[in-house]
Amino acid sequence: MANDDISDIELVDLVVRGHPGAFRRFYQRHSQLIYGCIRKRANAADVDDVFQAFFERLTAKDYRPLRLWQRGTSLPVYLAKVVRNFVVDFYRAKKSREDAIGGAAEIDALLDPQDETISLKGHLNELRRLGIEAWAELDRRDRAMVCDRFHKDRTNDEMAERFQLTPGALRTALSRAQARLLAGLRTLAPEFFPDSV
Amino acid sequence: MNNGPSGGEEDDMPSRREADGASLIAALFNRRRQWLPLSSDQTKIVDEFDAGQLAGEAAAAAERLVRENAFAAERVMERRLVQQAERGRAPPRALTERILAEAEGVPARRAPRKRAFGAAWLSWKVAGVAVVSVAALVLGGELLLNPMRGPSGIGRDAQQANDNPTDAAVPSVQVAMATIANRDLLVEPSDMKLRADPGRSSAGNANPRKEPRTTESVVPRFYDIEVPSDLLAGWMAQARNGSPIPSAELEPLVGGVQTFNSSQNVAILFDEALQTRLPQPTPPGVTKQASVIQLRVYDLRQQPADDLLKAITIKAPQQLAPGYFATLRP
Repeated sequence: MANDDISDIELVDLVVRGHPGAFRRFYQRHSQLIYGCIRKRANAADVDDVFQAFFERLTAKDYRPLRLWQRGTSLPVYLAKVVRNFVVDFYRAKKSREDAIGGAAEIDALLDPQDETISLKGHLNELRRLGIEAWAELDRRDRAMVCDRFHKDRTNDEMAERFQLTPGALRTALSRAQARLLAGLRTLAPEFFPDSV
Repeated sequence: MNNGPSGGEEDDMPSRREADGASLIAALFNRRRQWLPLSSDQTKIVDEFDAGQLAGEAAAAAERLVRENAFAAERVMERRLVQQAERGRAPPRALTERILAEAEGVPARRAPRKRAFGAAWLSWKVAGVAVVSVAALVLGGELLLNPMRGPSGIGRDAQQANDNPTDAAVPSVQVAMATIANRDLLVEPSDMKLRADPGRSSAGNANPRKEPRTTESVVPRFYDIEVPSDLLAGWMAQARNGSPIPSAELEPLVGGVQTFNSSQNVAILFDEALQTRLPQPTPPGVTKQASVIQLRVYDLRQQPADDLLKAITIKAPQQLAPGYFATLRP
């Protein structure tokens, strides 16, 4: 079956309307992304279980997360966020069961995107929040450099003067600060990064 | 101008690793100053920037774009997610077959799932059936006891629910065609208006291309969205027939269900001028081209929409409470 002849908007509309074959098409187009996001977040032993549970829940809830997706924004970005919430809830529910509290948490929250999940602004805010967490872990000089460069928009000349570095040394220091920021972000948002080597 | 560190330590052409960082960090520090869809050229620039194929001024310009335009930042995020997924493993074939079989209603052998002792009985299926049953009972009782609360406001939905229980949980929205006498009213210097009471949140915009400021006292006067032409044609056909549309179908138009409560009993009006944007019927045997139509949706429920309401003529036999007016995006 041709898989790329319709947009995500059209595909999702077909899925939520229960159009024959639409779910298979959706699966073919996005399952690898969903599987990849789960692999980045879940324990290796649980990946297949979480993946299967995700689709079970999606169909059981009559594709509610897809209905809530804001057309015009990126479906992969939205799905990644939904998957992340799902994995968090999966483990929360699992922990609840293991603590013999009961399985209610498994039913309550899974796959219910919150308001901030469904807008582009929400996705950017989430990335920003993770970035700030990673930034907070940097040492003082790295934090100051990243702040000067990306928040205060200082030029390289201004920064070289502030940090009393030559332009070349500044570029090296800034490049390394940036790499450390990304290393921190990788642990917080692994789905944006290749597997560790 | 900021040259940035992504030019590498000595080389002008960034390494792949640093280019990865440059695009993601630019997205991370996106300032949300622009909410404009990317042109094809801009999309190409962002893609090349993310792929580490730009250097010097071109890279700096691309970085500025990603830092300024929310959709450029989203493009970077999307590319990275998709790339990482493509590089990773595909789901196991047996798992795929099982999921597809279950979703498509074909009996399939269920994979053994690791369950904690004592919780196995509380499977999702059992719980799901219980929840659905209770919801059906509650909803059915509600409709029987109070048919006037149906979205159409005339008790018709309750009657339909009795006839067809599977439709009991499907709220619908009245739609109608309309014309506007003075199109100048659609263009005002400000696209924002004050609202009197809280309710609709900015987070639930149908499309954030015109991202509203996030104060509680201000809502956008309109929303810009894109809908497939087929979908719009279907809605307009139902509007001409006076048939209500399931509210779930209208989510692309009026936002998520949390922002649009069909029990408010408001109607959605479609501008007759939209007909000019619908593609001509495709001759038999010719492959139909999917197209998207850009709409502007005005919220008529809040003051000061009086001028718009006076200028709009609704083509419907019954009295309707206008809620939204969907028209051409200028």
